[in-house]
Amino acid sequence: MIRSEMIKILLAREFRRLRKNPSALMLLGLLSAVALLMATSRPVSNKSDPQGSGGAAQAAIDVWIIYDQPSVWLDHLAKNLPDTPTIRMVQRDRVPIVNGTWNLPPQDAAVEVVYGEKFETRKGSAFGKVILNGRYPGQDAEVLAPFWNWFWPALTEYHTQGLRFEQSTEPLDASASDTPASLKDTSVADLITNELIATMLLLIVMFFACCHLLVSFTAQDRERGTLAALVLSPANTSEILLAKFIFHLLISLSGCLGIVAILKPIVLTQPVLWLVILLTSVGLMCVGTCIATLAKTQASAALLALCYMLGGTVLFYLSTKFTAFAFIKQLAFENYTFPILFATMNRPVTISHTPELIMMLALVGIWIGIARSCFFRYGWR
Amino acid sequence: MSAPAIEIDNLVVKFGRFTAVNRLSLTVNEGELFGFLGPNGAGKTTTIKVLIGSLRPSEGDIRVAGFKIPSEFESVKQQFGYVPDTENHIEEFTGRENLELFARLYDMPLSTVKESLARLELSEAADVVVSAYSKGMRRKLLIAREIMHRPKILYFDEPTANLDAHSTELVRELLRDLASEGTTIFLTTHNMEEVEQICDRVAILCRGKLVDCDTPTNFVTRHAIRIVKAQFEQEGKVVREALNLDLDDQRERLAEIIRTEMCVRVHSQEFDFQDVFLKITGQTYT
Repeated sequence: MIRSEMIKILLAREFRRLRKNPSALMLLGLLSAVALLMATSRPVSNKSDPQGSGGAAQAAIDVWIIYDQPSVWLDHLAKNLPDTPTIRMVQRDRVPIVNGTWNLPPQDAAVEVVYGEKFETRKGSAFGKVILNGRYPGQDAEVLAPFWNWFWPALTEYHTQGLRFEQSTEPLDASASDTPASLKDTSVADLITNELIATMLLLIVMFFACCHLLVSFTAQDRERGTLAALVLSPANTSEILLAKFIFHLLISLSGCLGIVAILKPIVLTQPVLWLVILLTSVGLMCVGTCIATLAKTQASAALLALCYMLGGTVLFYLSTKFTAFAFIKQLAFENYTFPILFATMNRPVTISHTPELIMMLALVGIWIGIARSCFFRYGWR
Repeated sequence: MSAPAIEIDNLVVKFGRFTAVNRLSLTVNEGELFGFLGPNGAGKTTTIKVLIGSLRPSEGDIRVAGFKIPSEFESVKQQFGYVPDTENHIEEFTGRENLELFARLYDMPLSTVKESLARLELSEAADVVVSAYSKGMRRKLLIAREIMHRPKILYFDEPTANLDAHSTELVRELLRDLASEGTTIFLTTHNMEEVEQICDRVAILCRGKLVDCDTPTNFVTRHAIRIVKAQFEQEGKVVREALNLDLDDQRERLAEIIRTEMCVRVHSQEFDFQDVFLKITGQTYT
């Protein structure tokens, strides 16, 4: 039985303790300051930036994406076309050819999609290289900048899923220019946008508030014997655990609210954003509870929490290289957090992410069961 | 005779292959001040941990205030207070804040906080953070916290550890008062003088087994040894001997010393509860 009066008393105790340890929230303050600086300062100009995000403003020209075979990521792009520049997607065999060259409207640019040895198809996922040949009218490659500004962020969530993109640019009429075709690998650094940074900041806030802080506070309570004293009081174990969860969830939600309000206030009204933050926060709190329960001391608990974060990062990296790790990654609720959060930062997310949300809900449910069992059996003993 | 507050029947606690408590059976009556003694590692704290529901027994039946442990733990925990051997305060809170938290949890009026602080002579330090408290003050605050909700049973692990002479007497007086008000007190201590002074009954545990259980007076009466200490000169050197008058050969030896040697001093030695404890637990006594 859960008594709201007990929860209130225990929650008040957590807040009073935080008030006496304000330094515990230093990282949240730092992250908010980063977000504020990002929101209030201009990006550094960088001519070599393939997106041309920092370059001079370019008049948007129409762009044709020409591809051989359909794929999941092309479908994704097709569903999220911007208002400007005007982008049309067409299969290669449907492009009219005159004198061996594409007969596109004058002043329109083209981006040709060329697959490497393997590529992702509709039927199944495969790993492979995708070369994007950007062909521009006239002499100035910068006319493609508005296109790249839209293209790379829109593709971010696919960039880590076994695809390697390369970008080249050359004039449509190669003979009319001395500019050689340039070939350039894109890296994650090229894809960094405010939306991506906001997503990363949210992940850090959630990990800090729900995993690290919970582990630290709970392990400290356990080491000092305070947890045992509370369990021996009329408050029951469920109430103690629930009060802790509510406290850390409130910190996580306030931190996330602050970051989103500063960097992308328009997405504050997206229910999917808050659902993902809620599920991830609860999942991380469950992981934190297990860590705090199994560790003997506060120091070892903090170390375990760090190992969990680093281990997760290594696992996610290895999953892009080896299929076994890719399978393990599917079983981590954090796997679904990033793509959905990032998607919500870029556009309204509705039904398209339902399977991921269901999977996340199931995984978090399993974690709740594990954490509850761990805490009841070993939490205060 | 009063109803039993604690009933332990055939309690066994094992950690792997090591048996910490071996077939322990005892009963503590309501309002009794019960001493639970034993050398280090005898199984005292393990038994208390079972009684408070912190450790699951391997075998045996335990009833506290009529409730079965551990199955009825949630019902019984409001009936007892537990003063562990190490302090478990919220360090960032003041003494008053610590007590107020527990008063709210036990649904006690906040006036009980003031009373408890005054009873343990902590009123002046009530608004100081616990991290600045001395060991003795922390101990007293812990006792104040655990008596605040007026429990039926109080478990004390070393109640007067780290306390100065005045505070020790204060706590002993408090224990006597609580027992006279009907609170059952179950305490473990290594202070044998304390046991003799305040306990109604004592159980002695050794290597997980109950060795004996009786009143401190009966213990001394049943186990007393008449010892005489003799000091004499032999071949120009001072020799000291302790002789047990219950043994024929040692009685003859004393007679011989008095008859033949040049005796400097002969005096009897008082046999107190500490000597009984040492004798029963086999740690020493000639």
